[in-house]
Amino acid sequence: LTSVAAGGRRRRTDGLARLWTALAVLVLNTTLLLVLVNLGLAALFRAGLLPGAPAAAMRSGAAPGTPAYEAAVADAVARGTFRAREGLFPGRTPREVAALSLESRRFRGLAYLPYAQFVEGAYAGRFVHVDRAGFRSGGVPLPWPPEAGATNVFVFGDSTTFGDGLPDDATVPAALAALLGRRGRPVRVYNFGCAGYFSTQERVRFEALLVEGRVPAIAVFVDGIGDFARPDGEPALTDRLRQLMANAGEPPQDPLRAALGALPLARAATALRTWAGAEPEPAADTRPTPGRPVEATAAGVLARYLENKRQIGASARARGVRALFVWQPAPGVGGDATARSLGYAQLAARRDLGPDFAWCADVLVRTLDGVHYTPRTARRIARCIARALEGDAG
Amino acid sequence: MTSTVDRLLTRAWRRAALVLLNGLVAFAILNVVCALILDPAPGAPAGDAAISAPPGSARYDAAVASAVAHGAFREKERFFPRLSPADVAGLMLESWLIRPYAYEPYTEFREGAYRGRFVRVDAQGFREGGTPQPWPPDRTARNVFVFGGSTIFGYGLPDADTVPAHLEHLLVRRVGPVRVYNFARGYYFSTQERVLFQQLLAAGTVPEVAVFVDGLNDFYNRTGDPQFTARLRGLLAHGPEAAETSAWSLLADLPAVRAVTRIARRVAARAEAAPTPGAPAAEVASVIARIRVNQRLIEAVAREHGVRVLFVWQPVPTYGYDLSAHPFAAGLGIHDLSGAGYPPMLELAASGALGPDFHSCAEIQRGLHEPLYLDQVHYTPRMAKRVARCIARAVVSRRLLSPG
Repeated sequence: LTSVAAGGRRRRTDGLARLWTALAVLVLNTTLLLVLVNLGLAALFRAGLLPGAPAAAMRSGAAPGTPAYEAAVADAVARGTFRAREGLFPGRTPREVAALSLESRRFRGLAYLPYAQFVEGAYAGRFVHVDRAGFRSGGVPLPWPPEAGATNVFVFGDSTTFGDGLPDDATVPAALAALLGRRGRPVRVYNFGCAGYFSTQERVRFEALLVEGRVPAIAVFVDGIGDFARPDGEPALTDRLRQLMANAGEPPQDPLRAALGALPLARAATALRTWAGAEPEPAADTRPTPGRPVEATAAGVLARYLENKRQIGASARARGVRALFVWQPAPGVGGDATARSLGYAQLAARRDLGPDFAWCADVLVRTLDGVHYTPRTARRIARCIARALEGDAG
Repeated sequence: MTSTVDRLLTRAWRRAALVLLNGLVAFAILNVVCALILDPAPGAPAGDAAISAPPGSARYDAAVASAVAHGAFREKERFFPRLSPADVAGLMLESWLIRPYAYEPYTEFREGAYRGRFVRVDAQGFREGGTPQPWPPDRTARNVFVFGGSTIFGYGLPDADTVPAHLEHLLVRRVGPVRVYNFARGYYFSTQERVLFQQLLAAGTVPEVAVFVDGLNDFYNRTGDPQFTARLRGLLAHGPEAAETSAWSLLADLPAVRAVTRIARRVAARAEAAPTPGAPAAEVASVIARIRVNQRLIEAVAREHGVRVLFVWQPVPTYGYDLSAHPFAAGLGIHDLSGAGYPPMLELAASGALGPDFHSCAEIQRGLHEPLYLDQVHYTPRMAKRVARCIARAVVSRRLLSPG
């Protein structure tokens, strides 16, 4: 009887062991399958064969010569993506125009910067060079920190000042350097223009540089378009950072879900969903301000600009810097009933804002893409700024 | 032959599967054990990882009960003779652990809005004092904005015992109705204070007087970057969708990993408490240069808006204080630069190089042989009152406020 009972126990134990082993094999096989699928998808993401979803604000730079760079340029040429721009760059091949356009934004990203929130990320391309300190050089290398004995000019502004779509030597600051140099003033012009910037970020960035001991002889602030793109006064990545910091301070509601969501398999599913039904987000400068009349938005933006101008002026005087505030031309202004058109009209009526203010909004403007200046427009604006610096403001 | 290889491979595969499954089960059991052993109350204060828990919530009550049961804040009780151990625990937890920071453009972060029993932070980012403060400030009233770091915010102190709260009380007694707004925030140093001041001005909130109380955090912050810059840089570079961020948050939340992290922190804290070699003069000079430029920029912008300013040099335990009376002197290593930086800064002040708006309160603790700090650097209620008295004297003697 005892041996029968022992045999029964052994059978049960053997049965459990077999079940456990089968379960273990199932777990191992499933895990391996998942790992292989995710590795395969990760490779496809990395090769750029699957679209990233959603695109990160901070892109890692694709440098000239890398397969990703060359493939994107070849693809853009084959599709004729930038054919409309080719006539604006005589002497450049279609391939060069495509590379220039892609280097302007798609191959580069922004980097986090305290106070101003972000800055153009460092990049060394064929047409676009951004120093680690966040300035774009104008075709010739510039020393950093700036040499104390030189006449240094810092230019602040948004992507139109940075020169999206233009090579290093064709931006507004580069053209300004050429003009000032021709007039017998050896100057070094540092292009601190940054995509998405507006007057508050420029003030904060300028003052941060002063605190670091980087004090230029002249600081030029080119504004107009960026301020109306951010009527709420918050920099472009604020919502995202708010969310990131909230999540960093507090563990995610469901860390397992967050971790699973980061897997290439989940990203591929999101990309598929986005491809199937997502609508593109409206451009920043066309966003309506909910619940606020256009007049109030225009007045609020102008008040903020004038307050920033006032504070920058005070800070600049305290450090012996000559500040020049330039009101830039904006394409399409006056042709619609937006806060920007209204604001430009209001400022035009009182354009005499002192000897440190230059009205360049009447410069004939042509754009590459509806916003960013052509090389010729950049030169015209630079001429307006140079005249103002020479004492012929307005 | 083939069937033998197949059998061997199958056996090896089964063994690997068993090792994996058994390992996973063992790891799960280890985590359950760690979860049972680890108490839910946090150990060392770490405000940057705080979790929002209002009074009355289960999380708040559990944290207070656990802190009392473990005597986590017993050494603070003597500074608050009128508060029960549970009250002291609530105060300390509200100060450091159950009130998160929030992102704020330009300054990088702010104290998150919170309504605790002892700590109340308005949605506008200022800490409430003993009396109600309207927002926006009443333009017809005499308003004073106070800026500073956690010592001025009043970490470890109830709303009515902070330096700005005492300052309001003292000024009201001496010059009539005044409203003092506490815009101090944890980790803040002169650059962040300047940026915040300018943002307030840009928003149209212009005080009559702005008081900047500095010293400790400028020397703590050697880089000039705000406290969370490295973290935000990483988060923004990789994004929330980055695998390492999510996977790490998942792993970091596991009880076994938390246990290992806690042990590592204790080891690191002991290492930090060890004395550090003398601070390099270049770092001191760089911090002093930063403070001076910020002062000049603040003065320039304040003048533009008709705001009177006062730069107060705060008392710190590393200068002019008998450390034998300091019960929490161990661990002051991270603040050693203030000890080296205070003498040259005060020499500059004595020479008049820091201008007429500079006022030092650094010496008020000389000759006092009693505990003035409730941890390494934060003021006790009595010390906060002393600092407020020093500031009030300067505000009154310099006639910074208009006649009431």
